[in-house]
Amino acid sequence: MRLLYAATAALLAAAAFAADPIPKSDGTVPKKASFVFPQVTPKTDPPAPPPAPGAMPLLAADTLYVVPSDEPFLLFDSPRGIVSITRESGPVKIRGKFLDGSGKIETRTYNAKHIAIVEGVGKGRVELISVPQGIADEGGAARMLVDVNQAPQPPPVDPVKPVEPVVVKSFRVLLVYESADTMSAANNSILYGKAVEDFLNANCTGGKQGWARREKDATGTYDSDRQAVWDAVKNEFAAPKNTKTPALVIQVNDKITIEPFGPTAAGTVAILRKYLEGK
Amino acid sequence: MPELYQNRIPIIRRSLNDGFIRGDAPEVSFGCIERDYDVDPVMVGDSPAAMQLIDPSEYDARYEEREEQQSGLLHMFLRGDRPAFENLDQGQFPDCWAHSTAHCLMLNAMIQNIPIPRLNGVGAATLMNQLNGGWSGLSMKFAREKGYPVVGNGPGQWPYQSRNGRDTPELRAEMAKHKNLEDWYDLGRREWDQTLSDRQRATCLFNNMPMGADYNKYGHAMCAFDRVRISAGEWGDAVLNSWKGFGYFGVCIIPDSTAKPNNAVALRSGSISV
Repeated sequence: MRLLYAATAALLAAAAFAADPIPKSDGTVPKKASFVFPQVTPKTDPPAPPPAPGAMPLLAADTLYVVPSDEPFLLFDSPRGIVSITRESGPVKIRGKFLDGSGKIETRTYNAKHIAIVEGVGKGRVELISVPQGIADEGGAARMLVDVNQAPQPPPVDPVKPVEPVVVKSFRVLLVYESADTMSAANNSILYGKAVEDFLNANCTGGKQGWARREKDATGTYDSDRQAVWDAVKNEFAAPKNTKTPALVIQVNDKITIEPFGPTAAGTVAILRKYLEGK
Repeated sequence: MPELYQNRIPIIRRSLNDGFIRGDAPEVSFGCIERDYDVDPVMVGDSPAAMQLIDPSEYDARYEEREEQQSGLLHMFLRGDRPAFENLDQGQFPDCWAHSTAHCLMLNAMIQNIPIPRLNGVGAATLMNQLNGGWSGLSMKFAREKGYPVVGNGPGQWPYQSRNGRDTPELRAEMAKHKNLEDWYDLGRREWDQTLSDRQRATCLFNNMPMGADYNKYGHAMCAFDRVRISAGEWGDAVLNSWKGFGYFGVCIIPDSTAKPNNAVALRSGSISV
């Protein structure tokens, strides 16, 4: 049972519209409906006039409307989905803000055997219809209109477009390094080790012809495909940009990305695989 | 039974003949003469004084990481237990010092993962008119300034194991594709002591820089290209020789206790065009 409840503050006195029961043909008298919606203001008899337009009780997202009854009853909401209704059996202690309360959090004990707790889950006007068990006709039902404020909703967000994996038609890689650097053992393993090399040989366009190790300041030209990749990025590694090395230059189709080495050879293979899979 | 590193690569203990593990050592040529610092006091390229040296306390961890990840030049050269290229053979020409540089450039092409040119050490020595020996630094300087010729009989190429090539504009144009080498570390400067050179050499090799290495003990120059741990506390260099039928696809291990290079010039990056 949820323990965060809101104070209910009924501005409109809910009245049970219970006409006197009509005796049955056998002479028995049906039970008179005695259900009354809780009201904020002191109960008034006769039932209060219908509220003025717009002046409905406002059930905010942090507020509860607790409807107790000693007699069993059904509670309908119309339209559906603006409120949620949970049932409890008294006596029960509830702490929260109540629609018919002071606006502050308070603790109440409800001793009625049958309790319905109404919470706003949507936004709009809802009619609560209470039907005590055993009533003879519709006249035994009690009705109450409540405006329900929208529960705190996150700001609307644009629908997330599913990321369509890129169809990889070409995949080429350059491993760019500075030969004057004494690299860490890990970076040496990435640059020269078998794990990365095997991955590149197996997956680059053209196999071995699809990748190269490149000293960032070296001249010399490759075959046209690899040269095109280097030509696209070589200025990134030259002064004044001086992109940090060692680095991966990854071409997927017509897009070229520069990434740092992973922390390990396996981590670098994972980076490359992500691009290979079009992610 | 020859002593083998990882059950395949001969370890040189007594002489380079230890490297002929498939039969008797044939007659071979050498050609390395001691570097004349007065002729060649300063090499091209950067000074290794600015190199961030790897502390010897890290050598074991570096070696173990390289073994696990197969990330040393020796691993790369012998991937799949086949060599990335057939080692050059200097034949009867005293041009070992020109072949050491050729092997460096070819290993650099391997590193780059571009087609590996078959470079011509005899052609380079002939073009330098250095026909009776030299040292690795000379050939490296030539490679930087002129480039290196490619083995072959076509236009722009130099015939293998021959002094009879033709120096033509086509040859020079082809050589230019394998020049423009920017970065070398001269590890053999006269003013440096052996300890510093040892640390520089180890750092270069752990950084996967092959080097032309001159061994005065043998009167021979070869290409040292990896640093290996032979056993606990015993270190040596993996070396690529320019003798046919030598070693494991041309490779042997020279322990520090056997010999260390007296001069070495390490190639940081080459600029080879395809």
